[in-house]
Amino acid sequence: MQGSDTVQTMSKGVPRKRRTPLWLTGDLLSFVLKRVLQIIPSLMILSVLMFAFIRMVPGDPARLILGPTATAAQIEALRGQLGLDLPIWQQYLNYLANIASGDFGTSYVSNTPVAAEFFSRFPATLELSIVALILSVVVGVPLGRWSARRANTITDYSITASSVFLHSLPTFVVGLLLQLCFGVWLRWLPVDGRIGPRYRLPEVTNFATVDALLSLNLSAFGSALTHLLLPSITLACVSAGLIIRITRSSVIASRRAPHVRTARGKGLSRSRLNSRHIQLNALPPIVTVIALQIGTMLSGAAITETIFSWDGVGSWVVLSIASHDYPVVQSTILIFAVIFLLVNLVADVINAVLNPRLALE
Amino acid sequence: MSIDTATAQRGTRRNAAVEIEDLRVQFRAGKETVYAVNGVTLSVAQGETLGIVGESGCGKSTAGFAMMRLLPEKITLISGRIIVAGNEIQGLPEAKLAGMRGRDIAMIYQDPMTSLNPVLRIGEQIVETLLAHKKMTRAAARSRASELLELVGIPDPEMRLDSYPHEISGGMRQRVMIAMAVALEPKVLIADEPTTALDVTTQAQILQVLKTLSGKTGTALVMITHDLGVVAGTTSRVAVMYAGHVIEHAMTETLFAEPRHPYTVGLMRAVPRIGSEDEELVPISGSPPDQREMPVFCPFAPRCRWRVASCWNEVPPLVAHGEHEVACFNPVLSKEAEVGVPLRDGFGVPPPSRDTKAFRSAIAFEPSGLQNTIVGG
Ligand SMILES: Nc1ncnc2c1ncn2[C@@H]1O[C@H](COP(=O)(O)OP(=O)(O)OP(=O)(O)O)[C@@H](O)[C@H]1O
Ligand code: SF4
Ligand SMILES: [Mg+2]
Repeated sequence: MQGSDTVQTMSKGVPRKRRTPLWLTGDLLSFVLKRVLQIIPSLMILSVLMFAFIRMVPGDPARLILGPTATAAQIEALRGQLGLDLPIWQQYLNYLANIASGDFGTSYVSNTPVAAEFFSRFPATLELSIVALILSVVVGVPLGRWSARRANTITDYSITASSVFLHSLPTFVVGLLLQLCFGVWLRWLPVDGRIGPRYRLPEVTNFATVDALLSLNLSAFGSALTHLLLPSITLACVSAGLIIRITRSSVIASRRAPHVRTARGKGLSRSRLNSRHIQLNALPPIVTVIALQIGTMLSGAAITETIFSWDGVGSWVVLSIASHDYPVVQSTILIFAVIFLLVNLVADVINAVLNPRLALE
Repeated sequence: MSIDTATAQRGTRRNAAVEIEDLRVQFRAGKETVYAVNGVTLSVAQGETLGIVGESGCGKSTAGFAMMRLLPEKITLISGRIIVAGNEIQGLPEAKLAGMRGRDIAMIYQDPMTSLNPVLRIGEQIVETLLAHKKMTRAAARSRASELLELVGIPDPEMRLDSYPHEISGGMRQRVMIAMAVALEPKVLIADEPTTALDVTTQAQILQVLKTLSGKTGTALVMITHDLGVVAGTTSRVAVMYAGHVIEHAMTETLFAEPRHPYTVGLMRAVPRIGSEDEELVPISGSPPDQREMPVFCPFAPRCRWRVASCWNEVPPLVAHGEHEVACFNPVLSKEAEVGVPLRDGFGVPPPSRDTKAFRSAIAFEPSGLQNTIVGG
């Protein structure tokens, strides 16, 4: 059929030959590179803003460190030592130069390197966030799908209402209510710390649950789990609410697409119709919103960890802001930003593989 | 051709592969109702090709979807009987229907851009159709899919199986959809504007594929189009639709030789005909009626040059004159059909009263024409 090439009215150019899976082709690689390059300016802007903002909080770190009895001369001396007497742009450049050489600064308060302390605390935050994320996905996606299947019924309305409620409740309110209810009133669950005080775990991974399992200490594992429960539920609420809503709307939109009619018209089984033509097409927005929840988790961790005395990065940042510990605050927030952007990049890649059309646009 | 026993028992006259009887479809959106199909009766025998023609919005696709039972259930009201391959499909459970769709009845959808799944490869979309109905290996299904792509004139079919829909042109997508629809050689094939995105050469090729299929496997073909040229070349019978009604129904040759409904005449005289390009064109003035109103008089009346007083009183029924069915109180004479205008006097009767719906729609559609008729009548 020679006349066929004249038929390509809708898309330009000759369709590409594609036998290899998308993730093995150069397309995806250049897509990833492009996204990585887009991350760098965001990080620069963020670091400048953050650097300026923490210095706007009234109060002087040198005065805080030395206490109320310090003389003006002592304070001046310490400011010089910490580099705080330099113009702000110079402080910023020094900071960048240090980071480029792998030095994230030293905490004013504990006098330990920020990087070291960050990595010793990070597993606690990660453990909490992962459990919270799993909770919010495991609850959010099925509820969203159920709501979509029963669109415009009482079930749907109740699920939607709960999702709005979950999403709009402030984290500290949820945390305090859960503490009051299950900790103080019912006394079912512990309300602070990562594990009961009588357990001493080897610090292998610094994930309390994993370390407990590694040391084959089941009762420690149980204790770690019960300690995780309230804070992770607290942290999961906001995200679960959002995931429910996005899943619902995405599934409903996908179900209405004309290609679903085509698929039904082919006589596919119900399950195949649902999995391959409705749910699969509904996934990209859901993957994106889940990835965005990593950011919600990291910021929510600051509040949740503080409420539940959880020894993670979040509670550390909160303390450090109060004590004007600039190096801690600026480096942890920067690392959080990098994590957040990388996770979003991963989500974009997953979406590009799920729906190759997106990668090319 | 074997006579379908189930249909024979119902006492229908032919071995119809698909039959619809007094089909009515209404769409409900809030307080509004769209009267999309208003009592259509049609049947197509095995191996036969029926054309459905009419302007945009006259209910062609809706009738097609009804035969597949693919209309959105929550907002549609359907009445009448639809019998596909001997089964009355209205009451059929969804599982039974799934067994029929694709195998007994298939459809080529109007919009090739949105009717394929964007996240599945083309090969996969054809293969799953085959596997849903046939016991065969994946490999066998894949090679069958490749044959099908070749059949509809897609170059490099083996390689194209791995393309995603967005990687190929609209014309190619339309052909993929055709390949998918004919995959299981269905007893009934509804082709909804199957050649719109194609150039003339490909169009001819595709129509040939459909015709061959119909001849070889006895597929009953329903060819939905607004293109009289397509109808003339491929169909044996034609139903002309207007505002949800079949207003004329005849053998294709008869229809082209002696159109009897003013709308059909209008359609034919509004486009240049091959061999008579120097003829004066007679366009149909106005636009189709608002289908949100329940029809109470001839739907074509506001635009009709042949209308008489009774046209405003009721919807004309489809009346058989031998094999030729026309829904009109004042059918066009053959010498009038030649020129496209009435040659007798006294037509163009205005609506009965100034405050009827009829009057308002006549005003809406034909302000100048109405003026003339009021002065003249
Ligand atoms: N889902 C729907 N909801 C409401 N109204 C609808 C729906 N689908 C179709 N309609 C209306 O029903 C009428 C018939 O539409 P249909 O698509 O069957 O026309 P058509 O003859 O196929 O036109 P075209 O040539 O443009 O494809 C139109 O007035 C249309 O607006
Ligand atoms: S003559 Fe009357 S019935 Fe016939 S099409 Fe015109 S208005 Fe309708
Ligand atoms: Mg249509």
